[in-house]
Amino acid sequence: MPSHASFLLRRGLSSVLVIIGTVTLVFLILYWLPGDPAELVAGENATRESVARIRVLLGTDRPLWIQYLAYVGDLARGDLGTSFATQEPVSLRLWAQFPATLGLTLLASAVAIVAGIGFGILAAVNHGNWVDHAIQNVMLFLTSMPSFWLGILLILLFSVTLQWLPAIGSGSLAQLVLPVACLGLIAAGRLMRMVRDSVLDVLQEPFVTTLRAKGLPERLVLFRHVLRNALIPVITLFGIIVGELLSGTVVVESLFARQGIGRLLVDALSMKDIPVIQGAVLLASISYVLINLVVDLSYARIDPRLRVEG
Amino acid sequence: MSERMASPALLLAEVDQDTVLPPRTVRPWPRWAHPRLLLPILVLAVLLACAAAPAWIAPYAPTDMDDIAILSPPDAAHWLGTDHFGRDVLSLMIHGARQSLLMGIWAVLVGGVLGGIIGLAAGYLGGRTDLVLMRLLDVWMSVPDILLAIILAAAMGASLTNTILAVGLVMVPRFARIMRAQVLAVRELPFVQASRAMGTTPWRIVWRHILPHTVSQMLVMATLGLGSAILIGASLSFIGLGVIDDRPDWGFLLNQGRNYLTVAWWFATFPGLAITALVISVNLLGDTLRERLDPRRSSR
Repeated sequence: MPSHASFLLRRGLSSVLVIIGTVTLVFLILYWLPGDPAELVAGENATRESVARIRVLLGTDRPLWIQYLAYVGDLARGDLGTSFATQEPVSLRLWAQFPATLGLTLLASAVAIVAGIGFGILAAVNHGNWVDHAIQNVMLFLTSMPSFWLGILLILLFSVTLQWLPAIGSGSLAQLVLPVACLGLIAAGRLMRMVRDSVLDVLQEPFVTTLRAKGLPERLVLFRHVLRNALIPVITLFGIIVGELLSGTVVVESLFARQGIGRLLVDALSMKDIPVIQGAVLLASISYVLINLVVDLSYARIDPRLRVEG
Repeated sequence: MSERMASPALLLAEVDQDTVLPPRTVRPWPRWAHPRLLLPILVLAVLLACAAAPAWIAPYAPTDMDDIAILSPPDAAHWLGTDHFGRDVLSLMIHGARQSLLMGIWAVLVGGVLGGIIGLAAGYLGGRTDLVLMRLLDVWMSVPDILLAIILAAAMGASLTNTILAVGLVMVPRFARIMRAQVLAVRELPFVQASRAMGTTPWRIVWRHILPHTVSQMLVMATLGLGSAILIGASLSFIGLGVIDDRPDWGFLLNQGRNYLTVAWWFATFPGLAITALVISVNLLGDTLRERLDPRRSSR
């Protein structure tokens, strides 16, 4: 299908452009915005000599565009620079933390998908009665509370009071339960709302009335016909949820004192380790763009109406 | 028509047959006093009062340290307990309301004005301007919200103004997109075209005909955006990028309180409750506003 191929091509190309833009944006924010990043790194009461030394170390004594070209050149070879704090390559530091964050994010999205879709459908099927109202209230709480406060409440309940689960650290499976619950539930709130609205929309369509009128059991109407249509638009939300999870890991990893990219970023912030900050933010942003690309492409595959030029 | 008018009985009979009237719902409260509207307004009124005159409302000054009551649980003297310096948590929260609310409101203003201008330009000018602006927004949105706020705040340095700018800049795309969509919807309506044909200047068309149509949607976005702005701002303070002075905002209280979870549950619990109550109120208000302004959604 030629139009589908061109859709793939155009969508892929625009993602590449966005990624180039992202690299530029993050570079400009970190190197151009502070005026002199060397002063930022050196701190307030640094001598002029130490600022000058850091400036050479950072390479910020060169014109901005030369710094940018050098950075992009290194990036193209997979070199993300060297950490100020440990003198290690940034890519190595990121790579070491990547599995922990990936595991946390994947498990949390599993929780979000199961809870979000399950309760979303439950609310829609019970439209208007107490089950729906109860779920809507939970939804309101989950979408309005800071993730770190939910995390704190979970720690207070399960670690401090009941002493069932460890509050901090990473390594064992038990230490994963609370962070995963915290991240997953917050994301589930958004998903529930979307699933509920979407199922309600489809339930009002004429074909549902037809199916009911011909005597199809409600269970089959729901599972064989309604959900198939209702869950298509929900796929687009996955991209947003992944973005939310990636942002959430920053806060949740430092709250639960876990290893991971988010924790690395927070530590780098307190030490003004600009190359690490830059690398971590780029890694998260580029994954976000790529996941959204996959979501868009699979959306077009699943819903044939979108495959034609839209 | 005259035939029908002639016989009221016939008219009634027809109504009975053709339209099934929906069952009358009994409302226990009038429309304006629905709890979904009244509750958030009450919460917001209390918080605004705290932000406006914290010294009158708070039982203690935020700098009052009670040496004999360090990390003491809620009691008659300190309703919500004390922190690690023996400061009254309730008083800290009341004084922190100003920081959190100011930050949120200003951030929404920054995001709304900048986003509004970008959306207006993209929607009204169209063509290449639209294309370029929208691609720039795509790039802007490619960095997840909190991460973008983090690097902006880190690059600009910690101060209330910089936090406002960082959070406000993160909010720009959502306002720009709503504004653009609204402008596109109104731009080609007959009355605008008529006005254009009569030789009205573009500025006047935008000011008199287009902007008034975008107000309601932008207002809904601003209300809901206030919730996100407060959450993003609180996250910044929580990870230590906020302003540190003797009137800490709620996010920073949580940042401190989490170090004492095993000995002082109240220290982190109540400031978090305040953030949540504020964001819930704002979200409820935004949803109600949206439902009332958009009749298609009112059935939900």
